[in-house]
Order: sequence, then structure tokens, then C-alpha cells
Amino acid sequence: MKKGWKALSAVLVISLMTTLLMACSGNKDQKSSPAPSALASSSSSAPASSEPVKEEPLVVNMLLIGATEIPKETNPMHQWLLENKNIDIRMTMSSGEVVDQMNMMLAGGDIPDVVRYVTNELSNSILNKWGDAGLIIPVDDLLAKYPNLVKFSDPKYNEAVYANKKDGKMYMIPVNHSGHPDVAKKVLGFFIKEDWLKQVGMDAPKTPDELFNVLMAFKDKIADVDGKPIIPITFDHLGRQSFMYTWTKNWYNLSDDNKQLYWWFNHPEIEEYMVFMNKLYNNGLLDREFLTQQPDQYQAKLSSGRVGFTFNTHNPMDIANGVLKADDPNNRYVPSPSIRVEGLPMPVYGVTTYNAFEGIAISKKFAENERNLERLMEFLNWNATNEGAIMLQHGVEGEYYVKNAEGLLEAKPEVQAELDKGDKSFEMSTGLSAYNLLKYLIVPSVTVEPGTEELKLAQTTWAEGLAVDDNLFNPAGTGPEWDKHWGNLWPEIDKWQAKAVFAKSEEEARKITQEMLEHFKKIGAPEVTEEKLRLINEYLNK
Amino acid sequence: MIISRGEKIFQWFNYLFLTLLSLLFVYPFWRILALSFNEGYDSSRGGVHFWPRAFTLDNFKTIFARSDILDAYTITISRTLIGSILSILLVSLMAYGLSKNRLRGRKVINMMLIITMFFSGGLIPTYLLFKSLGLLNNFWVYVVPLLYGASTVFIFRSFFRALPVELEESAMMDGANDLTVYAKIVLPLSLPIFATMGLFSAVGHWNDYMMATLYVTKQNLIPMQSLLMKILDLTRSSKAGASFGMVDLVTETRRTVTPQSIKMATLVVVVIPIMCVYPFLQKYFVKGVIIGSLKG
Repeated sequence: MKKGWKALSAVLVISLMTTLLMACSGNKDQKSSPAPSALASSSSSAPASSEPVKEEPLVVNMLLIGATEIPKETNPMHQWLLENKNIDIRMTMSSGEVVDQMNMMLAGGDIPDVVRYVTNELSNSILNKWGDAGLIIPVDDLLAKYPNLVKFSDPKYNEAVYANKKDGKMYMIPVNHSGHPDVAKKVLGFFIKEDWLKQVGMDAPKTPDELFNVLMAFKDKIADVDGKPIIPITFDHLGRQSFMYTWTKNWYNLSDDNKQLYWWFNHPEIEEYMVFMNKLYNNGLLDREFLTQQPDQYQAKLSSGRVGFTFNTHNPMDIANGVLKADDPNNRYVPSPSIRVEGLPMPVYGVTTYNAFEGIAISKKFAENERNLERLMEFLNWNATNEGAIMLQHGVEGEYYVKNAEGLLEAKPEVQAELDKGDKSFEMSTGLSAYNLLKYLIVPSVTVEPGTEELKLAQTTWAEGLAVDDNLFNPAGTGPEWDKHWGNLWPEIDKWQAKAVFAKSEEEARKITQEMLEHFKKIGAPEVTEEKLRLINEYLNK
Repeated sequence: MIISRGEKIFQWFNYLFLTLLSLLFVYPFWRILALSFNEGYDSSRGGVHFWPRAFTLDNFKTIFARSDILDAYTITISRTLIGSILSILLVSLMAYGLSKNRLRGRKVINMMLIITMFFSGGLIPTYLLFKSLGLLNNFWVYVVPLLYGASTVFIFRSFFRALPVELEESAMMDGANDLTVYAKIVLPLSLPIFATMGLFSAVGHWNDYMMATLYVTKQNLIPMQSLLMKILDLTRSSKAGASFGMVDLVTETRRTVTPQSIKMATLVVVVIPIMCVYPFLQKYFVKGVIIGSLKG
């Protein structure tokens, strides 16, 4: 009996261990028996038959790092590409931190055939380490052979930001230029209550004085909303910082000769911003909670229709309009032009850039088969054409999109209903846009302008607040003074704003602002400024 | 027993105070529930405190309309069940062995366990280890690495040590071996600690998303938490032109969901299953924590 129990125990332990070992080896078994098409695509020998044989589909295992969705394995677009382009793109996705994922792959030494990753300073640097380690191929020759791939790139930007500093080579194809000046959407700006503006009989303001007058008119002539007093003007964190740009141009203001640099904590015009905000507050125009309110409180105020004027992205505006217009189509917020002080630079609320938000790298293992590499590049080159991009983005004409009277592609009603869900389920089940690997831009656009009516209005109204990135400030980098002081400087904004904006008089507001500027001189502002100017100088002289 | 007037007043005050305190703790969850069943647009106006003002199931429909939600639930439930049961079984077996002074090398094993409590391999070595074991893109990556936890082993060990030795000795005198004693004597007496540690393990498995984030790229293997993170990421997207929830006056179609309302529904989907299980294990949880703390 005792022996029986011992034997049973031994069997139990052995079977548990075996199960664990089998489980751990399960992945290896899958790797050791690749699909026939993979074998065919990796084979470099020509078929023995004398008749021309259609090549096996090119299998490309592609990893998307930093993506949020990939298409389902079997989808119509995948099938179309298989039949028409003889390419089988198999996507997987890694959704963790881009840098962690890339570091792990560097350590593991195992890169899929093609990788598309989200670019930033860190991820670009790790990608170049992949290049140093021989895991991916340099693409300079490929980019020279297929110039369309870099049509929306700036070569100098690529060299400064993406090229490997050690050997000067490019190891990635820059893709996704959705911030390009030709295509970037205007998504940030002021918006104002249109019905209130009509009620007071005034135009949308373009200067601080006009803004003050409009807000005073709102205060005097607009009745309470649902028994609650109106809020002529309010801001959240983004809004108040952006409103400051009316005086400071942007969060930094670099002179044309790159010799002077102003931030908000040393800008000579910051005092006028504080004085204007103090004036709004003392006249009962500025929301008392503007410094402390949470995002849902801010949204609730907008959605209740009590706010007259604010600054934000189009999202809060669209949500608020969604609520207000449901009851009365005339009750809505509309985009309002930039507020500008005469004699000062136009405020810059958003920048367009030649930055590629993503990059494509090709593994050395994949590129060892020259024919495969050639086929992949031919596909990407086709992707980088209007014809290819339209197909990959919208599918076969007439199936999901049709041309409207203006010749623009418009989603069929049933397709639009699916797209409006906003959960990408339609795109992922059909494969639309997923295989536009380059996220190639079509200029001019061949689709109807997406977005709400108000967002479409914003494309002209908010155009003035958009500038082209100087491609200088961020690539120049930061240094030890920045690391030491920036964390102390930036959080002080709200503290000093609270003192100056809530001051009893203009004189007091000015006095507090001067104290603020003196305070920042003592906690590192000059050091950070000098260091940044030096780094910019060094960057220019590289 | 006669209760004095003062004691009665104190009792009423006590009940009132504890009721208010309970409401204070429960209210945030209640509000999340109310918001999850309220139209997102209507919620953005504020003022939804106790009950949905504009009832809708759209928020949950948005989450459950995805075809990958079933896969995600399957993965999460599977790993929770398999992972917790296997983990508790193996940990308790190890702890039972370590609780016996006659086990050779006990001190060395204890030391090795303690070291793992203070040091870990780090992200890259762990990734390389999993890769060499074939755990990447494999369901078992959710189970195998989490089978053993040093602190859990010690808690079990402490509990087993506190059990009367006489019970085991008498069983052994009747011919039982160690495994029989474990299965028939120790295990029934240890239900509180099993339930407690089982619950901790199950909650850990249910809530975990880091393993999928780091070691899994196949979409049919991602668990519920990772899928919900994806849904939240999508709804937070500020891509220009995202017509999420616009009012289309021409076709009179109206979407009701907003990123905030999806977030509320997501929280409910995540929390409710565990909250349903907890009441059944609560008595074991309370007993187990107390017993474990007293007899450490």
C-alpha cells in the first residue's frame, strides 16, 4: 500500500513536470515547423521547371510597436493583397512601452522581418543600436532608389534626427508624416458661443481689447443658463497656457538670430498677460475655478452651455456641441480666431513638422534574400503612390467608399455608421488603412473632410495659429542645468498666476509679476536659458 | 440586559456614523456604476450623482461589441483558474516540505527564497529567460512565471508550522505518508489560508496586464485587462476628424458614447467579476489573515 502511494506520488510529480516542460517547449515546436509559404519565400533557389512559375506569395512578418490595433488575420484587404500583389503581410502588435519592447528585442537579438515603431528620441537611439548590432539593414541605398518613400521628409531633418551618429547611415524609413505642413489638421484654438455672439451683435474678437468688450457684453446681456450664472471665460491647464501665447508667442520664444531665448518665466510681456487676466477676474469675467477645476468639471461647464469663450482642442468643443445641438441646432460653440496683440508676434498654438511619427526597419535576416527585399520594396514603393495609398486606405472603389458630386471619396452610409462607432472594429475587420504601412499622405486630399461641421470650420479659422516647427529647438536637446532646474521652474506657473490674477488691483498684479521674475532668476532660469542657447549653437555648428 | 439611555444614544450614533462612513466608501463606485449606464454626452453636463439620467447600454455595447472580447475573457478566466489553483497547490506543497525541520537543505532553500524577495533579474534577463523557455507568445507565460512567490511560501510555511504536530504524528502512526498527511490532515485544516492566498493569486491574475504587454504580441492571447487598456487608448485618441459621438442632424443618428463614459463602463467590467467572487471568500480571507498574523 505504501509502495503504491509512493509510486502514485512519483507519477504525479513526473506528469506535472512533464506538462510544464511541454508547455514551455510548445512555442519552439511551432517555430520549427513553418508554413509552406514561409519556406517558399525564404528559399533562394529557382524552381527546376523550365516554364515560368508564379512566385509564392511573399510572406512578411511585421511587428507594430506602439500600435493600438491590428487587423484580424483574415480580412478582405489581406486577401486582396494576396491575390493582386502576391504579398502576405502578417501583423503582430506589441502594446507595451516602445522603449522597453525595443530594448528587449535588442537583448534577444531577434527581430521580425519588418518592424514599425513609434519614433521619439529614445526609440530612435535604440533603433540605431539595432543597426550597430547588425540586426537591421541600412536603408540609404533603398531610399535613393525609391525616392517616393521620403517624399514628405526633409533630408536635413532625417540626418539630424534619425541617422545613426556613428556611421551616418539611416536605418529606418521615416513614415507617418501626419504633422506635415500640407496635411496637418488644425485642432487647437479658441472657441466661442455663436448664439451669444449673435445676441450681443458683435464679431468674434481678435485682440485682447475686443475680447474684453465681448466678454463684458456677454456678462451684461446673456441670461443665466438653467438657473446658473454664465461664465464669460474659462480655461483649463492647456487653455490658460495657450492664452498666454498671445503675449509670449509660444512656451518658448527664440529670436531669429538664435541669440535670445524667452520662456514664460523670463518673458518681458508676461506682465501684460497677468495684468489682463487680473482685469478679467476683477470684472467678474474669469471663472474663479480656472486654476483648480478638473477636466470633467471643465467639460460639464462647456456641455451645460454656460461658458462664453475658451481655448482647447476640438474634442471638448465637439462633445459640448453634441449635447447642446441635440436640443437646439443654433446652440453651439464655433471656432474663434487667434487673439493677437498689435506689435507682438502671432501666437503659435500648434506646429507642423517634418517629423515622422513612425519608422520602418527591415531585419538583416529578411534582407539576406535579395529577391524578398526587392519585392518588399516594390510593395512599399507602390504604397508610396496615390493609387496605392487610396487602395490601401479605402479599399476597392465602390465597395466601401464612393465618389460624391465633388469627386471626393465618401464613405457609404452603412460604412460611416460603422466608422462613427470610433472603436476601429470596422477598419480591423476589413483591413482598411491597416496595410497603408507608410501611412502615406495624399495631397491634395481625395476624401471628404472628416470631422464635425465646427472642426471643418476650424481648418480656416485656426489656420493662423499654426506654424512650421523650426526643427531646431527640440533636436538641440537638453543638458544638466535643465535636468537640475526645470522640475522646479515649471510647476511654479500656477502658484504665481494665482497670486497675480487674484490680486486686488493692476498695480498689485504688476508688483507680484516682478517678484515672480526675480524669484525665477534665483532658482535657475538664467542657467537653463544659457545652456539651451549654447546647445542650439552647438547643434547649428555640427 | 438593560441598556441605559446613554448606551442607546451611543449605539444610534454609532450606527449612523458607520452608515455614513460606508456610504462614503461605496459612493465613488456607485457613481461610476451610474455613469456607466448614462449616456456619455449627458454625463458630460455633470449632475449625475446617484442614478443614470439618460439610461443607455451603449457604453457596454461599445466594449462587448468587439469580437476579441470573448478571446480576452477566455484567456483571463483560464489563467486565473489554472494559475491560481496550480500556484496554491505547488506553493503549499513546497511550504509543507519547508515546514519540516527534518528536510535536508531547508536552510539553503529558505535563503534562496529570501534572496528572490529582494533581488530580481530585471527586465532584459527575464525576457531572455522566457524566450529561451519558449514562453513568449504562449499562454503559459501567464502561469509559469507566477507559480511561486517567496512571500506566499513563507506565509504557508508559518501556517503549517502552527498546526498541531500531534495530528500528523497520529496519522503517521496509522501508516500515512507525508503526502497523505498533507492531503487528508493539513489541507482540510488550512482552508482559510488556501482561500486567502487563492484569492490574492486570483486577483493578481485577473488584474495583471504587464505580462501581456511585455511578452505577448499575438492578439488572440491578450487578456481582458490589456484589451480594456486598448479600448481606453482608442477612445482617448485625439486624432483630428474622429467623429466620436457627433450629432448628425442630417441622418438623425446620434452617438452617445464619450471617452469618459467608456472609461466608466470599463471600470465596471473590470471590477464587478472580482466583487462577485469576493463575498464567498470573505470569511476565509478574514480568518486567514488573522491566523497568519498571530502565528507568524
